[in-house]
Amino acid sequence: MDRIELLQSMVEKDKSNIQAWYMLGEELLQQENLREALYAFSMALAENDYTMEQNVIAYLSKVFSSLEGQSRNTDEENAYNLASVRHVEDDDQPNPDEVEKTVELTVIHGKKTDNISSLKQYQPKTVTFQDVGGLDSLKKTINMKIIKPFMDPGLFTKFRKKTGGGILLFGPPGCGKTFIAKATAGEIGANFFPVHISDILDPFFGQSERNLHDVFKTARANRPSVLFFDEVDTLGYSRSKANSDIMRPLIDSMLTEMESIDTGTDNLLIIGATNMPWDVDSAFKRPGRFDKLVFVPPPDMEARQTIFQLKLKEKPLSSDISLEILATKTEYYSGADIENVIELATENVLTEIMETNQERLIGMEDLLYAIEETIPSTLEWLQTIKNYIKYSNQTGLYKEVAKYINKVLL
Amino acid sequence: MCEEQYANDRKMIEHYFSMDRYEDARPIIENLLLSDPQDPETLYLMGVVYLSREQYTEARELVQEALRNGYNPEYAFFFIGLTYQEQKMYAEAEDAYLRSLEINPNQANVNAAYGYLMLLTGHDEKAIKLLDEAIRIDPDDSAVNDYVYRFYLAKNDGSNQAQYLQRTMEIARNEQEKLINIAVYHLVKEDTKTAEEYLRQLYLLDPTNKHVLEVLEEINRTNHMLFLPNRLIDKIGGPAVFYIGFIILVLVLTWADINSIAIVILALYLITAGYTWLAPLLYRLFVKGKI
Ligand SMILES: Nc1ncnc2c1ncn2[C@@H]1O[C@H](COP(=O)(O)OP(=O)(O)OP(=O)(O)O)[C@@H](O)[C@H]1O
Ligand SMILES: [Mg+2]
Repeated sequence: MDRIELLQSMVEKDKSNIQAWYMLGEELLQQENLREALYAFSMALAENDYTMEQNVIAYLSKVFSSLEGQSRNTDEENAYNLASVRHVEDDDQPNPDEVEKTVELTVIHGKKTDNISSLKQYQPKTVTFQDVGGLDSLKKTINMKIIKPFMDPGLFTKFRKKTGGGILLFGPPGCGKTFIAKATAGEIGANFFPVHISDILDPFFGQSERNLHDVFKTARANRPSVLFFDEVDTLGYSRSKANSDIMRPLIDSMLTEMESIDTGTDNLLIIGATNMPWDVDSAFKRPGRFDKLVFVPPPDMEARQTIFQLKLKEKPLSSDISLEILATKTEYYSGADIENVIELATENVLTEIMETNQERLIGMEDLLYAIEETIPSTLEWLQTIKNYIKYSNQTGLYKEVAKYINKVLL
Repeated sequence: MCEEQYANDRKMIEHYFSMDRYEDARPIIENLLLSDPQDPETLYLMGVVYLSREQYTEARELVQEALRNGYNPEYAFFFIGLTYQEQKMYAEAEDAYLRSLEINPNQANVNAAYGYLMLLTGHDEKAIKLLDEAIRIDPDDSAVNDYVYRFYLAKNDGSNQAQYLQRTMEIARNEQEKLINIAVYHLVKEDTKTAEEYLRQLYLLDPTNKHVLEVLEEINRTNHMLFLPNRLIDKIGGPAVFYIGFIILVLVLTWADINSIAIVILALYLITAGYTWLAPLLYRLFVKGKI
């Protein structure tokens, strides 16, 4: 099997394998199959993955600028491929052209050792609470706990209430933690810097800590900003469970960095997210660190309607679609589950069309059938946290969840 | 793929493995295989992922291929032996352990695994000899000590149980390991109340663990039910059978010092090991006990 075939079989098996889509795009582009390459890249972007978005932009601008370069017969940087662009280390005098742009794009994710850059050139599309359907009480909580103290630190100083510390969003997978973090940044008009452990971790001794430090430095240089640590349990994994001490220094650096922030004057907000709050080391949850836990529940009725509406936008729909009914029938479905329902319905209709040679639109029946064929993925998580609360003899950190569970599950 | 990228990927894999998140590492390993399908190290790592899924045949085939491509045969044969042992193919397992020990007899983990195999197959004396040898080679290896500890649990040898429990407490790598061993100790001692408290703490560290939850719930349900007298356990098939499947996967820990992949396996083993035995324990003690 050649590489393209292999990649094609991978994406067939798992449409959400954006890495594979990305590599397929690269391969196809090298074969100058522009049409299919762009399709693959757009599939790579389907998951709204920020890192991926950067990779695609960097790669494409690289390729296109080098095409341009050929005709202009210019500098040697055109020879960079993606890998070298992402890892440029001592690019002392960046040229003020496209090459510089691609280097800057990678500032957070590129494991670069040089320090601060401006992100002005690349602003991800802003989302705000308007884009987040429903979840009113969550929005209110975020407003009180995060946005107000951030926008008006003076009030809090007057009452001698500390405003430092980060927020830890937790909840079942696929329910919009990342989305809401982004929207929170949008609400306060801050730059949004998503960070994942893979952007930080480095095999060279001490380099991970330096990478982390640079992330904070970059966020500070681009204030106001929100530094978002996705899957924060992989960065601050519980010491009671870790099989080795190798992460210790990085965890310590993270704690130090966090404590050095004064939200009031720094205009820098730290948000973490996790599906597994029990795996986050307790040191991370102490005052001055991620000391505000915010539960992101499965989308409520209104949220589900919004998600259906959003995800159905591009599909050929018959006129009998009722978002309200769809939302009613999908209690406990996560955003990702809903996406899955729509995918399944689309697939079924396509199969039918291919079998009968008669084209038709996606109807309500198809969606309802797909709902019946699937189960919400959040139930397992909710059951787990329910047991957790039961055996911990106290609700403590998980008061909100306990309330939610009592309300909806009993 | 450039070397820097390769090193980064390896680091991420190691990190996921150290958290027992093998499925999270899988896409990275798949990508590495894509650019070099023959790389022995990568094949081996994929083998570990399959092992964590309890797909032993596939796991073994991957490591056999790694071996053909030059992977360190000491480790490879050990791994292969473990997969056979899990599938109860004891003769093949012994064969693999022997081949590993032939290359290097000074491997604490292989000696201990082999010793445990002997316990399973009813060769107690040989088992003791091999376990002693393992301890002699590396007295501070927590996995080796776990094996010995569980040997004495199976043999119902109270004073040695206490001594090795103490030892495992001293050298455990983390809280979770300690809690597993101390909970078992009290379970076997029929001190359900104390066991329950440790199991509860263990569960809070990993609420996704179904085995621990099962035991906890069972304890709650039967509340203070007396544990089976040893007589009955003997009837069921003797202490050795009683503990079948309960550690098996424990070893490999010592590799941590040898190379980094090690961390990988050791994590997998200790944890799954600790948990796999809880299921049969539960089954034997509660389900069969009621019949
Ligand atoms: N309330 C909502 N309004 C609009 N869209 C939503 C809402 N909740 C979730 N979504 C959609 O669901 C998708 C999944 O959300 P997101 O990736 O933020 O979840 P997550 O909780 O971060 O998941 P994971 O745990 O897998 O990281 C998003 O792309 C978003 O479009
Ligand atoms: Mg997310």
